[in-house]
Amino acid sequence: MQVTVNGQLVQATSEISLAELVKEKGWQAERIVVELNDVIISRTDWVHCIMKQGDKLEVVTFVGGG
Amino acid sequence: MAEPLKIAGYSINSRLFIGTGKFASNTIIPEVIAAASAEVVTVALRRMDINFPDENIVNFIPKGCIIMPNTSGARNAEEAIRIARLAQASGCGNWIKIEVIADNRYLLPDNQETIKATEVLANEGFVVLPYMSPDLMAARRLVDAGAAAVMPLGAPIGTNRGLKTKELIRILIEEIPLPIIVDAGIGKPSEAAEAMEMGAAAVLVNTAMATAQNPVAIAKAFALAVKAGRIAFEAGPGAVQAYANASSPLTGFLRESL
Repeated sequence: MQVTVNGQLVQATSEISLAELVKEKGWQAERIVVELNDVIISRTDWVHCIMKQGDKLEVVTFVGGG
Repeated sequence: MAEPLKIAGYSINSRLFIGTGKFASNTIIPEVIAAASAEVVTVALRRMDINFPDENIVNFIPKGCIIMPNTSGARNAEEAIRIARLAQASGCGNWIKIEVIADNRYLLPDNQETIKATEVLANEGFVVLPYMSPDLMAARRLVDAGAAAVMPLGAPIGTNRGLKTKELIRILIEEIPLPIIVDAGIGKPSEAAEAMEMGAAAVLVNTAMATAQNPVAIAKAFALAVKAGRIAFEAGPGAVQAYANASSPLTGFLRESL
């Protein structure tokens, strides 16, 4: 299955939860925020959130800024 | 000694806020924060680079600092609100620096959109510190919108040009019943001291430190300047006079008076 992450197509296991996807990809769970199809998913809901083909994820993090 | 700054129930001892952008390496940031004695530190929110998912500025900010994400990249109120909500979902607190910019040459903020975003986010419980062009009416509307402080620019972002808007900031300090924090443009410690002597509640400095040859040393210099300026303001500087006024007695000279 393919999902879009930050505008790029990414391969993911079918029926995977958001929590599993974050783990599989090695993202720093405690340092990122995820929007799924324009809705913010709180970290505690990641395990209940099952990804579907074509889902659109925005994964954001903090960088240096003034 | 200088009084602590009160914002939204927080008591902040350091009136030097710092930004974390443009440093040659993130590893210098903890040293800069320590040298500046900074307690409020700004960061930006961006898409994670999926090829480098380990990079995160928050790992370089000491625990105990207030992290103030900015809404840089937002071109209108709606985008700023979205960024603020994402920042809050990170679990790094509820402070937000509103920055709405649609001008690419001077990066001047859009006060009208900033006011809209401030109102929505203050109602949602954010501690909102809006970056703005120093304008009295806009500042009054920010007060009504629920801002926790008002942050006028001294000069365009990243220019190191100093307090070009000094007179307008002075008016805000006089008229606005919220802390006035000079954000953007301050290039040298003397300019930070000047803002503080005038009664600014704090200053926010980034580029001046990040682009200095020795960011840690200049952070220390800024900390001293901000402290000196604040103490001077609280001391109440003497009045400015047009003509000379002798400091030594005008009697008892070693000659006969005529």
